[in-house]
Amino acid sequence: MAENITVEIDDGGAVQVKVEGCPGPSCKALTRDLEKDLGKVTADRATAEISQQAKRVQKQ
Amino acid sequence: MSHIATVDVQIKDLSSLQKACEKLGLELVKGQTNFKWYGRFVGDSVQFVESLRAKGINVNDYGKCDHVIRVKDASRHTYEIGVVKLADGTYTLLWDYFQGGFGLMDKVAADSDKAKEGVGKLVQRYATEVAAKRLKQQGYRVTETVVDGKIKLKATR
Repeated sequence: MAENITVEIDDGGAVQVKVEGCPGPSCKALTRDLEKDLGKVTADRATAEISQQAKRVQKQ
Repeated sequence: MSHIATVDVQIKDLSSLQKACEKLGLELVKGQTNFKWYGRFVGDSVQFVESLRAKGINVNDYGKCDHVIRVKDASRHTYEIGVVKLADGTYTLLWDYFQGGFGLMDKVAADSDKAKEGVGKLVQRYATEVAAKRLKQQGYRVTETVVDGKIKLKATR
């Protein structure tokens, strides 16, 4: 599955980084440098894909 | 979808700032240590003075900077933006929007900023350059689109 990163920057300078196609905790590492280059992360949330992966790991 | 992060932009990379300036018809003049503004405070900006203090900038030093951003081919009256290095290594931008900075604010304020007081367009362009640079370094193919004033970078590998 292809990794897709979308960066949306509004004209007030607010930035949102979204990652798709990378289930599991490793997706955070994928954008760590990008986020550090941009500035300070003020909010960060895992979406369904990463949560499901974590649940699967817990069950095993 | 796996992860969404919201980031407050901090200016850290002068080469990306320079590219952003070029795309907006501006020029980053490295090493120029004074920027053009009204020249003195007129007592209408208490909050602003407080925000300077919070960044460790002495209000009496307003007008001093490490680098300057100016409008290319501007008139001699056009104000400039001061780029000041802070103690934490990041840069802050200082500017004066009085009378639209005599042409400055048209270049740097967002279209949605009707009062033309902020430098949203410049920060937006800077963040775009930073993100595209990093993503390309990581081997992504990057495309850029603009919808309703919002820039969207799509990176795939």
